[in-house]
Amino acid sequence: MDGIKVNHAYHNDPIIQIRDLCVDYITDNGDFNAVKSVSFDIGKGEIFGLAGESGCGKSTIAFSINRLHKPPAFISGGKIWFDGKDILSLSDAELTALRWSEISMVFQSAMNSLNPVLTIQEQFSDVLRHHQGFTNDQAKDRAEKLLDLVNIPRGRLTEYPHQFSGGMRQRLVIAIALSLNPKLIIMDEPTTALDVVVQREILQQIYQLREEFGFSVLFITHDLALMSQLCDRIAIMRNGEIVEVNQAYEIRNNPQHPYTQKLWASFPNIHDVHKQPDQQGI
Amino acid sequence: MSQPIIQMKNVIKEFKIGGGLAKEETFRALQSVSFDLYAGKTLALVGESGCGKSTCARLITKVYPATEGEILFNGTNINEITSRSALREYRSKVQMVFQDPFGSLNPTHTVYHHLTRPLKIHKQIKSKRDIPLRLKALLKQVELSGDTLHKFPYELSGGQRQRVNLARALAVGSQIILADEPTSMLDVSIRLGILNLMQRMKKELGIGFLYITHDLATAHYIAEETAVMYKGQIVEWGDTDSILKNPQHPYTKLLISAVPDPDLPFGNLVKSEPNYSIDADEIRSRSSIIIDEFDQIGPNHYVKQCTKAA
Repeated sequence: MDGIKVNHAYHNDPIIQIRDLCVDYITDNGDFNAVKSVSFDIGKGEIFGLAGESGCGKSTIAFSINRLHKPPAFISGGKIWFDGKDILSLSDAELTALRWSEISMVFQSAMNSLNPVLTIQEQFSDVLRHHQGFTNDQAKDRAEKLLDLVNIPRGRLTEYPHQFSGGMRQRLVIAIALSLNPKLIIMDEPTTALDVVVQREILQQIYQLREEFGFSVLFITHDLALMSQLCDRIAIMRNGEIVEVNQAYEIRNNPQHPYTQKLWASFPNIHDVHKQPDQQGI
Repeated sequence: MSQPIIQMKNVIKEFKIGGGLAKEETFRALQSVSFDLYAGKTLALVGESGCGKSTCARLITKVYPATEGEILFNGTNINEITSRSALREYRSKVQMVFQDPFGSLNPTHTVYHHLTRPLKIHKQIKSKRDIPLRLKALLKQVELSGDTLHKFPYELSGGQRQRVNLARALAVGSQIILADEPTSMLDVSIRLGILNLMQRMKKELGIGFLYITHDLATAHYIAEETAVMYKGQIVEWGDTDSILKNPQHPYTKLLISAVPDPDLPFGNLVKSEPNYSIDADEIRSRSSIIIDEFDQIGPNHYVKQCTKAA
């Protein structure tokens, strides 16, 4: 099994390299090893998927990548190299400058991560002013262009988050995440709270934006079907360890690890109905 | 076919929004909805968030009354069920399981408490001595081990909690369970276990399910019949298989196309359907027109007529 891991976990032209990352949670009953020596690369312009059930450590990895993990979690070992920089040894000031401008994040409850008492425009300018010293007019100009990208009318820039639907809010957060042209976007279950049609719309948009701007994505979900549609490479996690990494096509058609096979068997695929119309006996 | 247990007949539900200092408006959440629930069968109600699926369940449980139309329970209008004992009787037959397994159990009480209360309130047991036996049987029915009884909700996983919720519905001897997105907050790997359990309850105990979901894949797995709903209107209904194999309404087609297909990477999709969002918006606006006429497609497959012009 190790042979498979080594061959496919790494990338020739990586934007981020994670080596032997260990994250522990300190509890009263000793340390809990949430992430046990995980290594992988994400290539430039690649969509890398991290799949697994809740509690397997996938979100912990997402948070540790830009050191956003909160105590009692701490990184007990390993290295994270982002574009030649060692994330774990950066000073706080360097890290603040790096967050969002180079690595941005979209969370599962992203629609709730907008500030409800500020207009959308205000929230765009906050990012742009802070990182790039834009004036309000410059920020507005840039924000309008970003809204075009995610198909939201420019005129709605002055509205408040509650005036948007869940799917639109999620797209706004993606637009804000794109605002500084980051090299890597971490998406932690970005569409789990949305219904399927909206999910499809948003993912298709992410895919098209990626083709246009060439950023890399770390995509986290427990929905394998979705993941194999969107991602270039997929890592399957279980209990803090990566059990299998491979090209999406191989994970779908030729899963090696029994756990991956079980995950595939654990949900029904309605598209089978169309593919084998005669074999359906029900 | 046997007599349906619950019948919804042209039910309309209007809500008042605003009021106070703001302008008062009526919002029609259900536009003449009709469906039947049978013992030992599952009807899946599929649609996006806000289309009125949960409103149907709340009307059936008498959380609020219908504005027009009638809901029949074994032939009697549920509006006529008003006395305390009749209400209790009705509620013991029609139970609900909610989406959030974390919010629907009291965190300060054990599973024992959660399962004993319905037994006592609905007088399902003759004497206190019968309780342990009944509890054991209930846990066995939902495939939980006996020591779960003395655990608190926080000690259980999402799937186990949802099993406790199902056991609670079984405890009062329900005939119909309204399951409102019971698996959407669970991991994919746990979902199937809950669905199989529901399948077994249906077959062995003859319980009828209303399975509310936005996920056509699980609906296909568990439901014999499906009704696709959009903006308070059922646009296509009938045998699940027939609907999936031969969808007629553009909204149904849209829903099916949106279910992730692991064998169809986005790389191909962006080429074949580059304007997915725009097409989706057009279908949405077309589907929101209220139409009464419908066509029959198969033996048990109906579709609302849909005009081409937007």
